[in-house]
Amino acid sequence: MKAPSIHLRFSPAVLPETAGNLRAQVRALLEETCAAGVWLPDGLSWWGRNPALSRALGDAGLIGMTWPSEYGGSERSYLERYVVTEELLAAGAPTAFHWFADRQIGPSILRYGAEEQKRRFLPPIARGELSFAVGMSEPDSGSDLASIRTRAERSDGGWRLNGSKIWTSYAHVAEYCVALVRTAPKSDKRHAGMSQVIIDLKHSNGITVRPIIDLPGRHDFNEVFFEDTFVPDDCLLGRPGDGWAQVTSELAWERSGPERFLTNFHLLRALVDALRESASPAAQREVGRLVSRLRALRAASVSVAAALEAGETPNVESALVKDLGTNFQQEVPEAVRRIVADEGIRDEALLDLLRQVVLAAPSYTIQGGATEILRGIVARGLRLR
Amino acid sequence: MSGLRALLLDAANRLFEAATDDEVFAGVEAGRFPADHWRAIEENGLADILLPETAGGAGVDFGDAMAVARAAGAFALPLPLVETIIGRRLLADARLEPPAGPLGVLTAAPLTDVAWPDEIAALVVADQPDSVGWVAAVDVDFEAGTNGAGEPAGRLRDRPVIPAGRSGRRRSGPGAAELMATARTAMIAGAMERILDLTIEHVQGRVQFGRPLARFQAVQQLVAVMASHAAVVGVASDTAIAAIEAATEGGSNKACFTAACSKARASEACCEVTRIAHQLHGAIGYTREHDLHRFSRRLWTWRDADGDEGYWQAQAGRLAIGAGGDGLWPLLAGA
Repeated sequence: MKAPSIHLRFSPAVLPETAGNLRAQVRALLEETCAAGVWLPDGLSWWGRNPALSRALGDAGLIGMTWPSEYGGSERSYLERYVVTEELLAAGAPTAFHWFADRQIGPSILRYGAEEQKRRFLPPIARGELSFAVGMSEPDSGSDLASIRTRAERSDGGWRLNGSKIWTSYAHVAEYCVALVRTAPKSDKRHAGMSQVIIDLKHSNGITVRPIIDLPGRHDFNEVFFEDTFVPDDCLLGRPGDGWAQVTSELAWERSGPERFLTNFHLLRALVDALRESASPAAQREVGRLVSRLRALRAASVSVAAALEAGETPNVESALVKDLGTNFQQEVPEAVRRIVADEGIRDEALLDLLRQVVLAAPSYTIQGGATEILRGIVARGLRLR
Repeated sequence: MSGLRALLLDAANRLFEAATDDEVFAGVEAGRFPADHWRAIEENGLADILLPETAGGAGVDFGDAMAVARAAGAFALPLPLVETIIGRRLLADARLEPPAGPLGVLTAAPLTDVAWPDEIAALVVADQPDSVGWVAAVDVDFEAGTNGAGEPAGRLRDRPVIPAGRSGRRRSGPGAAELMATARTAMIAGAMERILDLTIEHVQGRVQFGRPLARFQAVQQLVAVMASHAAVVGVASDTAIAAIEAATEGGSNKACFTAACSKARASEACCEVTRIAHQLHGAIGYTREHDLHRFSRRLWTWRDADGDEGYWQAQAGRLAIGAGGDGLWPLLAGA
């Protein structure tokens, strides 16, 4: 028997030396703004939207960190951005206002956008002034994204959009939406004929936004209808027909980030505080079980970030981190429930938080790639399909 | 991978492959120590790799030594190599001359049993925070038996008394329990890599209902889950190794936490990884005719060795609760 083949690779990664200073900067900014009442920790974490906090982060150069300075960025590395992101998540800071633009739309514009688009959109995103929504799923296209039907047809000086997008978080308040649409009819090539367009949600014609109340009872999701909505030529992102490649090339970034295992970290924090006075051996073990999972997940996620930084495309490893991370996140409230009952914890703030997290938990393993899809990607990486 | 590590692994893989053939395993199950293979491993310096060069070691770093431990796991090596590597290092740290031959190690973590009680030269006793000593194996009160992997193993009836002149002070640093836990985690990571490899090979080759098992979506999903656990245990192992390498004298709280988390994660994952591996291998995996049992039986043994997940979860949990809400993230992030 020879040495076994290694099927998945997570090379140990080291964070840059600047990480310490960045952490201190983020922690100080959050402490200051929290004390000033700009934001308060709640159960939503990064799903909470707080324009004032995003503005403060933008002023501090913490949005669009990896972008060139001419577009408002601070030319930091992806690992430095990673450090900032995990600090924001660990504190439970509400960052949804700039989140999607910072994580995926900004990088897409930077990579595929025209010069004029970069100058127009990137600096205000980096200042924390411009909010974007993401238009991918449709009522009949969830995990099977390639089956989208919203179409853009050539029109004088631009495109006419017809169709609808769903689960479009914050489309009712965001200024823009980047949507994946069909610009050519469906053909044998499933992934051909799609393009990305930047839609001005505030000033375009023919847009109707229908709120969808989610399981926790919040208005975050929307269904957005387009009826002959005009999108000017200069709002096509990248090349017509390249939409699929553009969208999927960003998935590794979206999937392996720390938001896949730190979304309810604040619940763990509150639990640890509640156990400080006394904790039974069983509670200690259960907390140890959770943090041991978290410790390994974070190392795996940093490893993927380092691979991305090095220009690799660790799509399989990234899908794996998202799968394990989101499953972990679903275990957290269940573990907290058991501990709270066993230890007789009566802390009302903790119990409130727990109720919120229980309601949010089903979304973790659906958004950004459902568990079964991710496992399919891992299986393909293992050459099983 | 450094050039030195590649060379070391090359030699280790060759030696371990030779030391894990069917004949060796048949002998082990019958209680026979593969002395020739042990000698070959000794002669190649593998048992001394963690000794400083001044003490006759190869002067390799901890990570290189742990790469060898991982390889030992990937071959289900039925020899007390890792115990000897760590045991000799612990004695060297306390400026004690190790006795010739393989060793067992007693640490602060609960001891299940000591492999090869009649073959080891001595038991290294490192269950106290800052002292280390050793007792000749013949003077240790062992209750003879076998471990779950079918290797001869002795349960300790009493904590042995260290004779005068055979103990010394060990400077602070990663504890002996953390070192053994990290080495065992590396072995578990290696065995999981092997089990994943065996499982992929099996589902690709085995045809049922006219197609390879690998073509069934239900099978693909199970393999993906198993691969995820195996991969994350590999990461956990790397994390503990890095934390121990970075541990400075006196400042090893971070290393303790990380080593505890890693062994807890590795031991916990053994259940799911072996469950899926056996499920996918079907009846043939439930026999001694297929190689799977060599690895699954060792995972079930190693998850309990040097502290099971419950023990290490409690260690990690105490440190986490002690850190408090505001200190929890800095503890996890290591900064």
